[in-house]
Amino acid sequence: MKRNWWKILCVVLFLYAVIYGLSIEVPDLNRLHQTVRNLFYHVPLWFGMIFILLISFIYSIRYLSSGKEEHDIVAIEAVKVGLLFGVLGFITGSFWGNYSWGELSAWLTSEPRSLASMIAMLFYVAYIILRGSLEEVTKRAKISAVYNVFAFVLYLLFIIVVPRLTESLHPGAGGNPGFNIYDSDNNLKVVLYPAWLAYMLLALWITNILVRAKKIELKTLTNDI
Amino acid sequence: MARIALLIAAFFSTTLLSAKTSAESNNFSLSSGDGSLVVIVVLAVVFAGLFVFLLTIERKLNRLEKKLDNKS
Repeated sequence: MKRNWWKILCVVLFLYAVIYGLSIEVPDLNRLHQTVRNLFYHVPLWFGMIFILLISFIYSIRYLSSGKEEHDIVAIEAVKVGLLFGVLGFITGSFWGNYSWGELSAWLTSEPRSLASMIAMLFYVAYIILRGSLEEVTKRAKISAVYNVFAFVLYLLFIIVVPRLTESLHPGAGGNPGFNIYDSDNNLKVVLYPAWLAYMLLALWITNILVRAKKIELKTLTNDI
Repeated sequence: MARIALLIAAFFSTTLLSAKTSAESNNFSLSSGDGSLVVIVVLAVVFAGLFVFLLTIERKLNRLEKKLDNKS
């Protein structure tokens, strides 16, 4: 129980964000109206993705310094979860874009932030393909760890720096895709911040499960041999 | 991993405390609309189902880990 407190925290925060997020009063913003509630799903998914890719980045560095196979397993499983969260982020963003921008594909055709995010995600798709193409275990782990370090730096550049260099359909005018004081409301923050934490913990939890499953698989294979 | 989660929890608890409810009246609530309770219940049940699924996998993994430990 002591070791699992953060999983309980995740469940509590998640249900709080869902239930309270749907019953709370929200600001009646122009064009957004009730769709602003998607903020409690769409944005935390991206934060969950960034967080779990940061974990992957850290474990890749740890692998390069220690050479432990365990660190390599955490790095790859975290990337898989990050991609899952990214895809869900795109899906929730598409639905939101459909209501507020008028078309389902607006997020891809006229939004630099979404395009940059998609390119950034492709780096990680390439990471998985790269791993699949190498057969020798140590070589695969080392090359993919080096690649992962560069991929994370590029990922941050593409999702944080690039969208700020141009106009964006995302909230905030003048090339700033982030929320500013005119878009955000304290009522929203009361749900948004716990939702961030809930999604980060959920990403951690799923990664933890995948890592444990992978270790069991490897142990079973070793025992059979 | 748990330590990282603790650090994040500490960070967010401070930011959450600083978030106060706005006094502006240009707000409206979904709970006043028809069928809103149904939406809340359905979503809560769906997400609760996700956690039940994760807990089931956790249990299975615990059992397998114990089995492997006993073998070795």
